[in-house]
Amino acid sequence: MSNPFFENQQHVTRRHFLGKLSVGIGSVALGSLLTKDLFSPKSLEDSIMAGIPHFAPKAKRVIYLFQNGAPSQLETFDYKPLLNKMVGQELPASIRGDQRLTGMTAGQEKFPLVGSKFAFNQYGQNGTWISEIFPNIAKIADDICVVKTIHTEAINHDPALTFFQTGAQQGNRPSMGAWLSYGLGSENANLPAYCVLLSRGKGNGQGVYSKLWTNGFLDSVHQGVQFSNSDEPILYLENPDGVDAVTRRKMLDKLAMLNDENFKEFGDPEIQSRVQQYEMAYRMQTAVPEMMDLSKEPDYIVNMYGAESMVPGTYAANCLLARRLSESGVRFVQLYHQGWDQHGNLFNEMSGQAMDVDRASAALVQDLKQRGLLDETLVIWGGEFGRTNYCQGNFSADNYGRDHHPRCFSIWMAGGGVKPGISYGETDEFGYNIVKDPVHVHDFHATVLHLLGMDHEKLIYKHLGRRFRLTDVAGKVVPGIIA
Amino acid sequence: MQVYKSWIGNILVGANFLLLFLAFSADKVVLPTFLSWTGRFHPLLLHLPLGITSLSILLWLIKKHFLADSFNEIYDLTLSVSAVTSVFTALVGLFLSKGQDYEAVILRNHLWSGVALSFFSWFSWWAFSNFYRIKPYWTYLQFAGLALMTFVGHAGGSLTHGADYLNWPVDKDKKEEVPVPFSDSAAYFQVAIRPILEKKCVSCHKKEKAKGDLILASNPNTTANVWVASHSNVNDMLKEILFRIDLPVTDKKHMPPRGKDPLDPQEILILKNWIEAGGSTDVLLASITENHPLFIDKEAIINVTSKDKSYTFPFLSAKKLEDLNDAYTVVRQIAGESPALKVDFFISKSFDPNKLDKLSAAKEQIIQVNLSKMPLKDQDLNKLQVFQNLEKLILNQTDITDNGIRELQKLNKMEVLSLSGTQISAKSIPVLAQIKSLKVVYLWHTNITEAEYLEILKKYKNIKWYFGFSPNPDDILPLNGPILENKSLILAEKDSIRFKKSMPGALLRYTLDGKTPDSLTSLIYTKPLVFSKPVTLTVKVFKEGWISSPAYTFSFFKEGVKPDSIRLLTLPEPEYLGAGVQSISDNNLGKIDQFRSGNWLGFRNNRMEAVFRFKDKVISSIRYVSVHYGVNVQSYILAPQYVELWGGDEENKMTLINKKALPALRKENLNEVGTNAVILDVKNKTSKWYKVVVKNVDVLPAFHPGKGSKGWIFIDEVFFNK
Repeated sequence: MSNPFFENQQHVTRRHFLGKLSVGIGSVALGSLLTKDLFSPKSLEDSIMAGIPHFAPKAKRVIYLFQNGAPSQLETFDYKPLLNKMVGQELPASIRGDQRLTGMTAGQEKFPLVGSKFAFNQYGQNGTWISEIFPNIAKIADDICVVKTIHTEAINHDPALTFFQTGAQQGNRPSMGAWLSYGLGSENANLPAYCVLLSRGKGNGQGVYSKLWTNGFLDSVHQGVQFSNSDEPILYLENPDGVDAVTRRKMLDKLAMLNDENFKEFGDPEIQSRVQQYEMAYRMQTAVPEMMDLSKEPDYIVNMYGAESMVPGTYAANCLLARRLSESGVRFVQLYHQGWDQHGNLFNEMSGQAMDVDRASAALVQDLKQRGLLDETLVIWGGEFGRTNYCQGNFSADNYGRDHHPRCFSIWMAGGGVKPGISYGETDEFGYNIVKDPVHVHDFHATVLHLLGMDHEKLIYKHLGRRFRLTDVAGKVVPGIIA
Repeated sequence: MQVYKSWIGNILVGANFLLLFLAFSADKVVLPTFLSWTGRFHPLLLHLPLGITSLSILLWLIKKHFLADSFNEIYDLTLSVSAVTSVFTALVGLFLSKGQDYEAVILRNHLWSGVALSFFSWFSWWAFSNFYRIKPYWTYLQFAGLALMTFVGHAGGSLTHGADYLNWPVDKDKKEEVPVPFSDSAAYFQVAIRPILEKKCVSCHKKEKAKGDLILASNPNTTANVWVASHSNVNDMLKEILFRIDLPVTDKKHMPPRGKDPLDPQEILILKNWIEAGGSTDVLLASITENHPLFIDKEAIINVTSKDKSYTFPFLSAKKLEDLNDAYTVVRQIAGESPALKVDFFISKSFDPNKLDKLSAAKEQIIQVNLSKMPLKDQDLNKLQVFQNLEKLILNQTDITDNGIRELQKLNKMEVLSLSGTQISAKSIPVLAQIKSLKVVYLWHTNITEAEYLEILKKYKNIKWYFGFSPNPDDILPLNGPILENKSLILAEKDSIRFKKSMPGALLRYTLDGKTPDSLTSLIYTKPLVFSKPVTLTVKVFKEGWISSPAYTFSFFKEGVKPDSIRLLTLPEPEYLGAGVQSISDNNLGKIDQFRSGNWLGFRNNRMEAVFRFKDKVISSIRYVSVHYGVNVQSYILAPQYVELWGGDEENKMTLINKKALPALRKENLNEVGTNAVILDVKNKTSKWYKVVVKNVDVLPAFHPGKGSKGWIFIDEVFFNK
């Protein structure tokens, strides 16, 4: 026998459902008051897209003066008088340990130690050791932080360079500048966020190639833009002959209208981003000449950077250009100066290379400083690995060479929240192993990101089902070099 | 029921007296393992008296809803269970307290109030059935019990979770302690070390807790400024601290232990450096000068504390923030968590001072403004006054002058001001010096003279003034060589030679005879040069106050007449085949530092012999032939030994027209690298066929590293010129 009342109870009518639900929703609403972000779920990637640093940054921009080919630490910043005392003696096996050798010295029977032919002196308030080949960098000793204990895993140029630039030896990962462009965006929408400038010294050189400034799996807008060595730093930017700015503007406007029609029809967002790219290029036509304009600067800016700064394509000219780009809000300016691979003829070649870079590197730091920009611009100077403390090839009193050495080498940084005027880390008396405060390349990356207000563990991009970072699964911020 | 009640009564008597006894002799009690294990049940058991006592109060309050008899039964039972669980909870609690180092004062309060609660529950049970005179006050009595229970619970909670765990919640920000100010008379310890210890160490290492016998506390006997440790030997203690904070986090002995707030790397470093520097609590900030081991840390701490500001003004809404941005004005948060904004202006042509008015929508939030290179005028500066929180202002290369500086005076939070590249003069300095908050001012490339610099530095010491680079008259630098604008050294019919000066105001002087130009008499380059014949220019750059550039030599060729066919009679060495005959007739000069490129043909075992055939109409116009070759002596690439030019109207009937022998290598040219050309006149002879023979050096001289072996020749281009 059915009981109508009971049956009614069994059926959940809409009225019942909504009635009960109101209580449930009420309690969910109550709960949601306590979980603020419940209805606006923000993934890490989403928050990166906003282009805002995780915490207040010390540095806003980076200028990386990459000394391509790996300058010897023993002739520049890591003073090892013991090597001069022990010239010609064999490198003790206990010091070398199990360090692998390159193909170039693996067949060598002897590993005669050789000391720097350049004299060293102490500079600045903390007595930073700097070689005589850098008289101008010595003058800014109080502004730079020399890190003597950088070490890497790679032993040859290409993997080491790629490792320094992308955090992986194999390539195809995004470069540092691309990561920053991705994480922080462009400061100035009228210029690319990541610019690359190349120069070449007379020393034995190693190649640089566009994979070093690749965007990897990130959006291609983050790729480094290579500037040309001519008066016209960005190719194809000028209007063609016979086309003036007004015509160009009209053309872009009409084109935008056509594109807009197209967008209304298909709704493809790529169309709109293309329109934006055209607009950016148009604005760059104004931005770039203004950036190149030196008329508001004193003539003696040339004295500062050296006369070479007037010759497009030289390191000095690139330093000056880097300063101007950085000043105009370019997030990451990457310079490469080739010619630091001194397997032989080290004395002559290093003298020449140092002549190329010394004055301009120091000028760049000073120039940023006198504009009040050094505290927000991080300048980094260094190569991809170090060089051996023993001689490669035939050892003679007045000529020697050094092979690749990954276990320790020196770089310096200035500005951007780095402790000024210090030397960080110590290597052993042979300049072969690190005895105190090692800084791995991953640590270096983590620290640079930290200075820019980014947590290196949070700057991620999901690709092929995995979240990637510049520091991959390693890297620790080095507090000892942060001001 | 009666039996039950008497059992309960007995148990309560026994247990309560045991409790009282143990509580009195707590210090001396040594527990068997079994009993200290039962102590672990205290956190579990305590919920029973808590719940049942509350239940009994509830029952009492709603007793009118029960029948009188059944209420008495139920209520009596509840009270009895409450009393029994109370006493056992207190007992195991006492067991638990042994062997654990809790904060002594709180522990004592908890213990004795617990004992009191147990006795109270016992008394309640007994009184309900036996002590009728108390009935009128029963309700008050129950609430007194509730209060007592609250007190016990509070003390217990504080024991396990920390003294302030159950305090009324306070916003942490508001509670923050006032840090010791940075004055020279403050001790480094107070400023740098004590805050870390207080934050990360003291909660376990204080008098009340003293884990590992370490007490970090202020010494009441002396001024509150001094901290002491209870260790007999302070140095040992410091060593131990150093050892433990430096261990890997996973190590058992690492401090702070797992689960506690860890030291961050910066804090570890500061503690380490301090202990390594002696760990003194008395060193004053003033005495930490540049060579002191703690100098860097001191600077860093002062920087950090002054930089990491938190701002109290509200966030600007995302919508409003977006409205402020355009392609030339970028307004961004300084960091995700911070409401503070920074503003950058780009592209001077698009700048409009009214944009500053628009920004007043974010007048509270803007703390940094960068206007460098914008055409900002003095009268625009008053627009900046609304930004009362402005800390950093960059006005480099703007049009402002001394007249506008006064407008900046109201910015009383401004710390950094950059005026480089403006028309500011020393007149503005006293005005700037009145801005109390100002710390750093950049004045490079302004109208302030060197003498005034020194005066300013002496007079206004509260502000750091940066004057930047000024050229040193003794610092004489070398000039660069000239920049050749021609893309190629091969000149077509009407091509001119164009040089660019690499330095404003420099003079380019040149010679045509191969001599080094001098600064007085040599020809001056003023306009593009046109020559009808191949020419070698030697160029040098001069400017007063600079070291003249080295001399640069450029050999220009006239574009030749293209032969109809070319054939090589001898083969180049296999690794330097270049592009075959293309290489010597493509009007493209190679660079000798790239002698592996396809531009060059390299010969060593053969001399070069090439045959060229021309159409009739051009034969009469050919006047000379130039052979372009490379030299890189260290790489065994030498100038040819000789060059021969043969001609004739048939291929197999050519005769020798001209021959030129080149001088042998000299020792001083051992490092020579470059390119050159041999020019052979056709001596007015017209030929349809030409043959060019270039011979390499047979034997390298004794002073060359490759003495005795054959030299190389590298040939790039052969021109037949009209």
